[in-house]
Amino acid sequence: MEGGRTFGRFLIHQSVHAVKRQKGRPFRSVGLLLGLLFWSLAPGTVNAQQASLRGFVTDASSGQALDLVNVVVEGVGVSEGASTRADGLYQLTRLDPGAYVVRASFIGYRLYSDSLDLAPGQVLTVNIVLHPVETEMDELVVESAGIASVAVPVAGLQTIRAADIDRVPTPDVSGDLASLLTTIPGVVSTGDQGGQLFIRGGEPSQNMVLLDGMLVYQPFHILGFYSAFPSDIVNRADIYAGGFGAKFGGRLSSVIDIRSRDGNTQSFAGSGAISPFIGALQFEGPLIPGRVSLLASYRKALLDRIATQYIDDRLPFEFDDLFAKLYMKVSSTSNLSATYLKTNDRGTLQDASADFVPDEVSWTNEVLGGRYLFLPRNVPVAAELRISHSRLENGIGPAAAPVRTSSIEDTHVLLTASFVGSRVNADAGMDLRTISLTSELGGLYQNVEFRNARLGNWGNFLEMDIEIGEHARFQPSLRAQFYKVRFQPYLEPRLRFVWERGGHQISAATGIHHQEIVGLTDRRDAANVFTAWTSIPPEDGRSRSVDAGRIQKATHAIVGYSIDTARGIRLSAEGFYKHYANLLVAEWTAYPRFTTRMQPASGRSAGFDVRMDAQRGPLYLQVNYGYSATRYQAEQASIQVWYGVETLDFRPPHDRRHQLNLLTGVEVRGFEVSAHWTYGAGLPYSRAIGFDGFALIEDIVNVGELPASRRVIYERPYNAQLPGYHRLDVSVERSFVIGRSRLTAQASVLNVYDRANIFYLDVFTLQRVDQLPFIPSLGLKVAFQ
Amino acid sequence: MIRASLLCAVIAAGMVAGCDSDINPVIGTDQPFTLYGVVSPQLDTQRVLVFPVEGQLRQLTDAPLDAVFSWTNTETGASSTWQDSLIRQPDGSFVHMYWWPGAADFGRRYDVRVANGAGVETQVTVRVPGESEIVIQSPSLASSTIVPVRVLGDVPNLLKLELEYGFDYTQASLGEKLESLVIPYNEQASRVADGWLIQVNLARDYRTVLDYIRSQRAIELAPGIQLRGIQIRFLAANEEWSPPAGGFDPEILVQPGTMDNVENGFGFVGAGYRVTHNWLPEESLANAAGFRQ
Repeated sequence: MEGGRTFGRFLIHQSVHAVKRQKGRPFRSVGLLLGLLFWSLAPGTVNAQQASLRGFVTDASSGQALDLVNVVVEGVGVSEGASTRADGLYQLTRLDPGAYVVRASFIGYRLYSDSLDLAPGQVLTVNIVLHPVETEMDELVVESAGIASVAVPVAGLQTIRAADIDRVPTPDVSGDLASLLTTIPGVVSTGDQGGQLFIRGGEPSQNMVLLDGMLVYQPFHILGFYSAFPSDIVNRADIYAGGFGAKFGGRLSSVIDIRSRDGNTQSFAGSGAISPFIGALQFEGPLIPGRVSLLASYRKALLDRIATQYIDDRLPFEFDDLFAKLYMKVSSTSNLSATYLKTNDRGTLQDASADFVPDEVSWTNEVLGGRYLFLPRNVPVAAELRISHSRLENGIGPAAAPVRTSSIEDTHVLLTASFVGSRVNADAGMDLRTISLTSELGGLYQNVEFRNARLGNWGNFLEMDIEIGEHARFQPSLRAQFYKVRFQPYLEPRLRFVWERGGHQISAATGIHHQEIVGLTDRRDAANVFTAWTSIPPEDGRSRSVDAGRIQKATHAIVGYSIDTARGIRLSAEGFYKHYANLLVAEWTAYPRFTTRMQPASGRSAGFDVRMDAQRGPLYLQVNYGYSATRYQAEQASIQVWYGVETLDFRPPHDRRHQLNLLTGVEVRGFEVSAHWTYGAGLPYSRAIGFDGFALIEDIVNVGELPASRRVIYERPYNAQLPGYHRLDVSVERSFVIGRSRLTAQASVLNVYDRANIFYLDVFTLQRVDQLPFIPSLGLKVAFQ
Repeated sequence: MIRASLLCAVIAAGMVAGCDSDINPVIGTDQPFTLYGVVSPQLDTQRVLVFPVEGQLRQLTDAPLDAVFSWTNTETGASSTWQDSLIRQPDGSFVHMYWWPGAADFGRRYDVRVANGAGVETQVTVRVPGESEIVIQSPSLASSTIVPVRVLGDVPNLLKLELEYGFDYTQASLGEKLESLVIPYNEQASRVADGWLIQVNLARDYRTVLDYIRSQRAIELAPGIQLRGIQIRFLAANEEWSPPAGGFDPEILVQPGTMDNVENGFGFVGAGYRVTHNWLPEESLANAAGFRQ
């Protein structure tokens, strides 16, 4: 009771304090609503006589947190259960005092059982260590690695685990999250190069990619098979293709929330892998056994050293990534972790010669963050503090002297409190973010443009998870986001709903989202390799810009259905609609320049994904098709003059209409054979009619003294379409156990039929660079423990 | 079902595998040239910039241009071939400028043609406005300070119409100051049967001058603002010389097709001349508007 009232007071204080600071009527209403909601919950949530049980569940052999472990307490006429979260935390509240038996069960681990007594009002912490059943585990894993382990889309959400990544053939024997992401319905990439991801009609800059809560602005390498997240470090990834809850703010389209695993606190382990594409080292182990661990990973592209020895085509791409995570079990009720990530990418776009320096595209990510999770002594909540700093620099132009550069730096503080009830769970929190944006846009035909901006925003959120009966969950949430552009907050109500029964599942989600920062791309780059980060102009008395103070807004709606058939086939379908308002897109001009001047726009995306997963013995098959149609309406003032209409309807450059993925795998005599064929419809781009010059004739003058500039005679914007992208990859893998080591050999072929897929196309100079050609590869990985 | 899915997958793969990945980001055009220039009786040399329409963006060099530039007076039939010159730009590139020594005639129509080696022509016809005369009339009412100013003549367009007021006043600390203020007047011009009518509102303009002075510095109430003269000036232009939205914004005008009058090509060639007329209203009229001796 005390804990419940304390929690209730905490949330009421938040809402009332916010109400006092703000005068807006909408926010006052929301604050009162929040207060009423939690005041009604608080007394009934935890009775003063009732007790709570919570703790962390970990693996005995590695110390790793285990999620989705079933923890059940059984007493006289009482049985309550909960599942652990990704950090291994479980919480059971509203337990009457008395004697209980607590059991924890998870596939592949011995059953845990113990007895305990709960005193009235006690908040007891019991950490559970599960011991793996080693001899049986492999068999169980094989049997269960079927469709049961494949995540079903639930109102735009899919959860991926490390084991799922290994299904997709890649040139890397270790596996990478990026290869699996592109097989997910609604997620499309620019292909095997470029590092851009489009999710259900959204632009790459509208995606939020988080690693342990830290924002990673450019999470994918220049080779699209690779992200900053090798599968060896991934615990799980929650992919929201839309309809994400209120804990995520500041993005319009999607969230990819990746959690890394903790290093082994019991023993040392590591691996080394090499292939013509990449070399990788991974190491983990206890710095203080049972308490402090380190997990580190380093990968470096070897494409230009190895693959070019037997491939005729140029492969001038370099990248590397470094990941490190320090985990500390501070006490039985708290733990601390620090994560560091750095990536470097570089690719040249033309052939070099004695008198020609080719253009190069490059980017660097650096992310550092910490997380402190603790369970307050007498309150049945879990509290979490995250602090992180992220930085991205990208550029294009001659190597070592890029003419177009853009950088973004982001510092984030997040405080969250989580409460678990018998049928109602709640997360509440607040976050602060400061962002620094810098761009310098120079180059041929371009007057150099400098732009700097500093932004700050603050958000409060409340998410609830309510069980309704035995088959439904209702997840309302609300975010109040404060941006610099105006005093009043932007309210973002959101809702998720799931109903399951008899193998059928119906899900839905809706919500409002806002985004302040803008990622601009150049019409010159038909394949979109450079992004300039900027912000919306602030609204003040001096600004006459129509863009001023317009925060970009998206409204999502998702409905989905899935069914598990009796024949081991899972079918799912999901429809979505997103409406965009106050968008800012790059201003159009016939001058051959890239500018961060923006024009207002609005738009919509609509489509559907259908997917089939099937497992028949050792054979697995996944087929998914996604259709997505995105249209924008540009509102640039000069459109009325140029085209005779007030707004111009067009397909934006990320409007990929069709995506088809076929993924199949089979185990034959110890060999794992897999194949992946992917197709993506071509992206729109702005085609030119020709190039000429321009001079402004505004008076009786000697035109020879007028400044003349080059000019692009464009067709209507984005009136043309690049060719479709498709590719077939196959791989064969076999593992051998040698003592305490495991040796894995993989042979793969990328782009089996040598399709020439476009990576980079400069509309001005007609320079074209294709994606990876036919490439055979042999990789070896040695892992020890 | 799995077999059927696999079969569909193979068929789909076969269908798209053969699709071509060639791409043509520049579709090209048969229109050979872009022209930007001015034809005027007030210029002793006529000049037009000529840009080739190309399939690739590159810096223009000093290489010869495959073009023959000529113009014909459609009324007299006189025809001339223009000379080519190279103009070096600040970025090191070159622009071809064709020129002809001499002034254009008032009221004449000229047919300009630029032909490439294949005989394909870019062409524009411009008509130089006829000569004009400014007539300043008396206000329609004795008490009115609105002065009708007529521009008589065959002038299709009146651009950049503005009045510059010259005045002086006494400033408290610095003594007598002589200044001028330019007031845009395009909105006050209207087409009439024999030309244009400009309604000069002296009282309103006096208030504009007064507001300007007050925004800049203090002014003594006496002796007030003394009007020293008004200069009326505008650009008498051909009909096509008419920017959208009334202003010469390069960000708008750079778009091909915006204020273009060239056929089988792109660009704009204007024809016209500048007019300047100085005028000092009668003292009684100036006083009625608010100006003081």
